[in-house]
Amino acid sequence: MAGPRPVVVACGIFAAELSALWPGAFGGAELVYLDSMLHMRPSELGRRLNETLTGLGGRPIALAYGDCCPYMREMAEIPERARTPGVNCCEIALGRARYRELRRQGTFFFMPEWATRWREVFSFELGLEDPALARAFMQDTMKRLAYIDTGTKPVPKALLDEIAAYFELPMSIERVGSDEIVTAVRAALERAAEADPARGRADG
Amino acid sequence: MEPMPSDFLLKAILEGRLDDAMAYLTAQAERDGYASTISASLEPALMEIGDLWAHEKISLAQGYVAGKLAERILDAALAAEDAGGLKTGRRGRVVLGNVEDDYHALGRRMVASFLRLDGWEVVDLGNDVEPERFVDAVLEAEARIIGVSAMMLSTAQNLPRIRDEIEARGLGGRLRLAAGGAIFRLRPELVKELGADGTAATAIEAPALFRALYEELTP
Repeated sequence: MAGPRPVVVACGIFAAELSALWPGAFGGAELVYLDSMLHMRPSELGRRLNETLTGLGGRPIALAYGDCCPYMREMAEIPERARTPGVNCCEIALGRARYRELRRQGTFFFMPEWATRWREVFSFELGLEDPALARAFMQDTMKRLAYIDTGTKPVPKALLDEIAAYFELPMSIERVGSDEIVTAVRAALERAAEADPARGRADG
Repeated sequence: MEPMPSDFLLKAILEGRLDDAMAYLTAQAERDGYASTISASLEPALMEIGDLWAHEKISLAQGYVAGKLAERILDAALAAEDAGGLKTGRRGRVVLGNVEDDYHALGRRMVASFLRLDGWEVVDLGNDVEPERFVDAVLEAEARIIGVSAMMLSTAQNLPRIRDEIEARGLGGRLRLAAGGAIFRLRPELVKELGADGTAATAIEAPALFRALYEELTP
């Protein structure tokens, strides 16, 4: 007996990477996205995620998220749910070792989706409307910028040059593809399905 | 009666006009001295900012400006001849750092600025600090308080390792562990659960926390 259809509840930051391989790479699971800008408001993200997860009932759920809201651990602890490992989307995309290496170098990351929304992030969400203040803020805490090239769209070189010039920080490109993301989501789906009570009975 | 924040100063901070805020305080300090300027003008403004921050009514940029203003005015005060009453270290030394795997420096640096302004000498270990380094540093500095910053639960879960290190070296009764960062503001129950002795909802409130923890050690 087949169990209920699994679902991937993903941050919109992964939309291009997951949609490009949908549905074949994920065994017919349903895909649900939430706006990636919710990352800037963790409590609201938690509320929205909770509503979404509650609405999905007891289906096996893979959460394609980092530790992005205060109760993420508890939300992912329910047996038929599993989360992609990593503190945030950048670690999920880069892998733990490379993420730590770059963070220790003082790197600020741009995932492809956020690169296109960078003015929204800095001006609207962080309130850094004044370019001089934005520059001072970034240079105070970061040494360099890196674009995470997941291979799903052409690298927006002109845009990256604009961002680097705005903050007066060097920009590099991390060409990682989407393998780490896809592998993490698949593994989370498998863990969620293994723990699903209906599946467990069917297999047992 | 508590001094009220100047409308001009508060507006300048909230509008991100750091240079204007600094010029306002510098002019006042030239007239009244830095110690008076800080207690009569800067601190009331910072308290107001802290209250707005705690209620999520200001942006990260506005909080950043408040922290930079505190840092700049303290540097100016320490360079000035009348800085005697503001000398850092008069309250003692503290060790700060972000917990292992945590790289969110901004909050920690704001806390460092406000602690220095309050008279603490701060040994700042930076990001991604291992438990052993925290305890080595506190012994080396002859400090009594470790302040640990963590933004998310997954990194905050490294806090018990610092507590374990403190206890393993038999220092539990001599040190206090303060925890700060977004996760502790949103989930204050984690403070005790993860082995810390206290937290502050905002960086501006950190000096009051550190004073209270220090008093626990020196009855």
